[in-house]
Formats: sequence, C-alpha cells, structure tokens
Amino acid sequence: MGNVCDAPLIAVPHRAKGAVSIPSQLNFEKVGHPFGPVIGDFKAPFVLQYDYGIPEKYLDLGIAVQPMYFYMGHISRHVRPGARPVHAIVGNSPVGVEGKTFMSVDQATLGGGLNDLARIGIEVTTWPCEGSTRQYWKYNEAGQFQVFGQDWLGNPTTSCLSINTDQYFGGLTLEDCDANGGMFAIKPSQNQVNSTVQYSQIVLQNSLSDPAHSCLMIQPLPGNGGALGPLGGAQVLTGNCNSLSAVSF
Amino acid sequence: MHTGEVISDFFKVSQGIENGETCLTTGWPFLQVGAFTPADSSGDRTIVVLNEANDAANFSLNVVDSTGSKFSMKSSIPEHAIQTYTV
Repeated sequence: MGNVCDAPLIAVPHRAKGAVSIPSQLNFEKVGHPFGPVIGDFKAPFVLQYDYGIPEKYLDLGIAVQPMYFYMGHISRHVRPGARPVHAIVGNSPVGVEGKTFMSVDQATLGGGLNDLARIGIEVTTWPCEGSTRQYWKYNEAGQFQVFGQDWLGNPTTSCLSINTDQYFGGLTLEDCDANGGMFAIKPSQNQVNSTVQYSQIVLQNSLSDPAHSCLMIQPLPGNGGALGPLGGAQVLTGNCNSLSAVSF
Repeated sequence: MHTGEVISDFFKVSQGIENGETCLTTGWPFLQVGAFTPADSSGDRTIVVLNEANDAANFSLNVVDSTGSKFSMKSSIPEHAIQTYTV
C-alpha cells in the first residue's frame, strides 16, 4: 500500500452519486505541494479501493476514507471514555531469546525494509533495539553517523547525525551530511561504569565547544517517559563527557 | 568505517533496567504499541500494535495487571498492519 497517510493529497475522482454543479476536480486537489504527483489521479473508485484501500462505498458518498480512519478505529472502538493509557513499550528480546524483532539469529542484515525516516529534519532518539534499518548507522570515513533509506515516493535519501541541537526539538536531528553533519571520534570511556564492560564515548570533533562538553549523551524524557517509560524516545544531544549517559555507549 | 547499531547501556546502569539497552533511532521504531485500561476496572484492557515496516514481526505480549500477576502471549503482525488485542 505504501505510506498513503504521508501523501499530501489523494485525488477524489468523482463526487457523491447524484451531486450536481460540482467541478470534477477542484484546484486544491491538483496543485501546490512539493512532494510529487497527486496519488490516485484519474483512477476509478474500484482501483482506488484495490490500490490504496480507500473504500468504494464511501467514495460514492463523496468521502475519501484514508488509512488513518482505520488506524483511529483501532483506538476508538475499544478504548472508551475514561480509559487511561498505561505503561507499554516494544522491548528488547528477553534474556535467553536469540535474535531481535526484525532480525532473526540466522539473518545477516537488519530487517524492516527500507528506512523511510532517514530524512533531513527527523529527530534522533533512543529506543529498545529492534534490529531494524531505523537503527542501522554507517560510521563513515568522515567520522559521521550516516543513515540511508528512501522517501515515500521511492527516492533514495541519506542524512547524518547533526552537529547542532535543533532549536525546536532541543536534541540532535538528521541533517545534510556536508552542511550540518557532526564528525565524531569513538574513544574508550575514561570513567568506567563497571570493570567488566569497556564502554565507549562518542566525541564531537568539528565544533568550537569545549571537547570535555562535546560528548554524545542521552537526555531522559520528563516524567520518566510517561506511558512509554524511560526506554522510549529519549533525546540525544551533546554535553558533559563525564556524565553517565556519555560513558555508557 | 563500520556499520551497525549504536547501543547505549545508560538506562541499564542508571536505573538497573534489565534488557535496558537502547539504540540510536531515526525518529521512532517500526514496531510500536499503546495500552489502555478502562475506567471500569472490570473491563478489558486494550492493546494496539502498529507495524510500519515492510517486514512482518513476531512478538510476545507480556501483560502485568494491577495485582502484579502476569501473563504472556506470542503473536505476529504482518507488514504495514495494525492490530488490537483486548485482554
């Protein structure tokens, strides 16, 4: 199906049955967005249902029901007023179980298919390791952490862990490798967390900041991460090389 | 030059969380879950699982209720799918 949710517009090829004096296609359905052609243009209702899962019976009423409608149905059908979210997260495999969610033991490469979030402007966060391409990095010749994938139109994308924190997110994001890519050195941690594991620290090199305050570190979410708990979605930024999160990679 | 995951043990060493490794992630993971308890505590809990990936995924649901009792259930989800469990 592809990620139709992300598509900016889906053409509605005809109006409700019996409707009169409405143009076959309005201007806003055709023009003005940067992401390529309108999906579903000139396609018959039964083709839209088959290709994109947009039900024909609603098209006959003049409504293009997009996949998000069905996503929301999963919540609204069973989660009734007064319900509360509780702690839930997709975790690592428990001890004794080999492999990861998207990567079985006999699999050489990370799974999940192409990463559609390897794009400029996406925030970099930490989550339990799922063995997927969304967590697959290339430490390239320039010392950058680079990711590869494609956008929802199939165009290849690449980007790098940024040199600066994003002014809105407050954490590191994916940016253009040449313009805003951080260059990092991976070194053995000076302060050892324990004696059995040799941890690393990851130090930003192409910055005017104090090297002792240029280490990759993890910023836990407020409220211990809410319903996701601490493991879900903590921010990544640069800071004090002696902090515990900076010496635990 | 290397390729692979960038793994942190921060939450393991700072909070003692078993299996607490986390990986540097572009945005959010492919497989996600949300869980809800109803206002009426005798009702079913709802667990919604979303798989954004081009690959199917196997998983196990581990549910701990308010009394501390646990149950587990193995399941799988196809690619680009969403599932609801009521337990």
